[in-house]
Amino acid sequence: MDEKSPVPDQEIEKDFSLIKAFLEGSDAAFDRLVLRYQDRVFRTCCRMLGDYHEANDSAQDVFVKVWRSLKKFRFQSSFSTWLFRISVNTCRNKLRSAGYRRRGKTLRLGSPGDEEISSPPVEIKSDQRTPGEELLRKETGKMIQDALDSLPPIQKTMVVLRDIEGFTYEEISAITGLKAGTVKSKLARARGKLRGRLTRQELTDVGCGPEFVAERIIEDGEVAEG
Amino acid sequence: MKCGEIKKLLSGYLDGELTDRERGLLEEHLRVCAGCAEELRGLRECVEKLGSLEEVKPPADFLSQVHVRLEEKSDWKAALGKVFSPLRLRIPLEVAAAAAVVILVVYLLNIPPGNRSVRAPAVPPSLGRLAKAARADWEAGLKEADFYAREEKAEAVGRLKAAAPHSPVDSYALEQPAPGAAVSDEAAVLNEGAVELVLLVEPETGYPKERVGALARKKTSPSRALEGASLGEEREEPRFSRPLTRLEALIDREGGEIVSTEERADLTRRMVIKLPPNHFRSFRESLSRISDLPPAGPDRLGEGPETFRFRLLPE
Repeated sequence: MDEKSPVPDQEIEKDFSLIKAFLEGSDAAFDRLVLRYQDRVFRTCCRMLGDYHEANDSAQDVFVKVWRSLKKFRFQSSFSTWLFRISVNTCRNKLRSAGYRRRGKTLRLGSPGDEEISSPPVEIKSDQRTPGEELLRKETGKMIQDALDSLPPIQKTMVVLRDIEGFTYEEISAITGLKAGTVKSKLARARGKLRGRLTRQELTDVGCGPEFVAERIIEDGEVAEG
Repeated sequence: MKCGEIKKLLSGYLDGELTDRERGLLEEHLRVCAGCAEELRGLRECVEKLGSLEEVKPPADFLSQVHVRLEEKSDWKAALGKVFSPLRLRIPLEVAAAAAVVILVVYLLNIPPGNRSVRAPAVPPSLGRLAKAARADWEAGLKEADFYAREEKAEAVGRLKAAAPHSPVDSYALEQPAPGAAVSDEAAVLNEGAVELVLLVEPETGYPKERVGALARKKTSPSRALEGASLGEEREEPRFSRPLTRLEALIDREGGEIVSTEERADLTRRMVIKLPPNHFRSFRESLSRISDLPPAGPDRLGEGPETFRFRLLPE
């Protein structure tokens, strides 16, 4: 999990010197900026959009915009704030766009072959997990993404920026332009909703909710115990 | 503090974003309220789940995809942008087919090597950076001796021609017949092992000067060249003098085809023709009967088109 502290100064300075180099004509500097941030931007887009290929498309758009707009960068905010502002806006525009159908756009995790063709090459950390645990992790991922997708855009943005990308409230405020108090309350609302949904989902999967007991009774033809 | 208000603070509490006063009140409340404590536990679990989501990584070539997109969305002529994007990334068959047609066009236009150099058009200074990178890629690509580099070149020539019709092109090329004239079903068969010959036909002796002059002035337009060059097509008016018509007939008889024809400043006519391989000898023999070309000649053809220079005999 990312550390929940603001971007250290040396990182900010590093970004600034790369930007300056780029503005002076170094294409290699741009490449280095991309490599520094591509994973995070891509991840944000994935969780915002819930689809690997849409995320790839949007993430690339983000860096195209960066290339074009860096000459306007004022060095007043950190580069990452500026970059994620672009990322969030790009994702929200896509979510709002007429052609974007959220149905069917669920994040496919897992090895190719066990899902549809749009399954991404997921880098599985080399822990020794049983196939059952592995399956549970995939299911959990799908479950969480579904829960995320059920949130309205601003709440979803709050959760992605805070709990997935690890930005502070202050940074989230700078990225989104929302006041600190708004960030706090929107985030609280979002988490509450998520929690509720995830709990219900868990109970359903595990099969210990009241509706499952009733089903068992009907199936077995006898009263289940307890 | 009431449970409702406490619950609103739980999220901030998790992130350490409460004021000291708020935190104090909250912790005090949690000591006595199981419901809120449970709520906090659930929230914490939810946040942990979010933090432990499977890592999703971008594709390995993400950066190069960005570069491709940057070139595609470049503000300059779309043609130039496509010139520099590596053909390897383009997969559709339509593109390969289009490239194949362009290669044929280049071949038929027979652009001399000197004109094959592709120069980038003038680049606005603000885009100089991108142009430099693109040009470097282009030059690197040219050095490769593989199929794709050649395809790119051919495609580049085709696209640049389309994009910049006034670019300096050898005027000689303008006189060539359009590809449609030469590319026919017969041409496809003929191309199999066909022999290419260059005929330099000198103006006949004894021609009255005015007629020679008339011939010279009668510089045919490309569209005329198209009509005249394609055998079997209707000609609106005799393009050649009678002896040349005999030559055309001979070529036709031997199953050959005129690829291009050009009237040069010194009034010789330069024709590039193609013959089926086994007709070379009989063609040469027949030609020697209507011209001053000796019947015997080198049996084996060397590399590149054989050139015959001759004068047609009067009938």
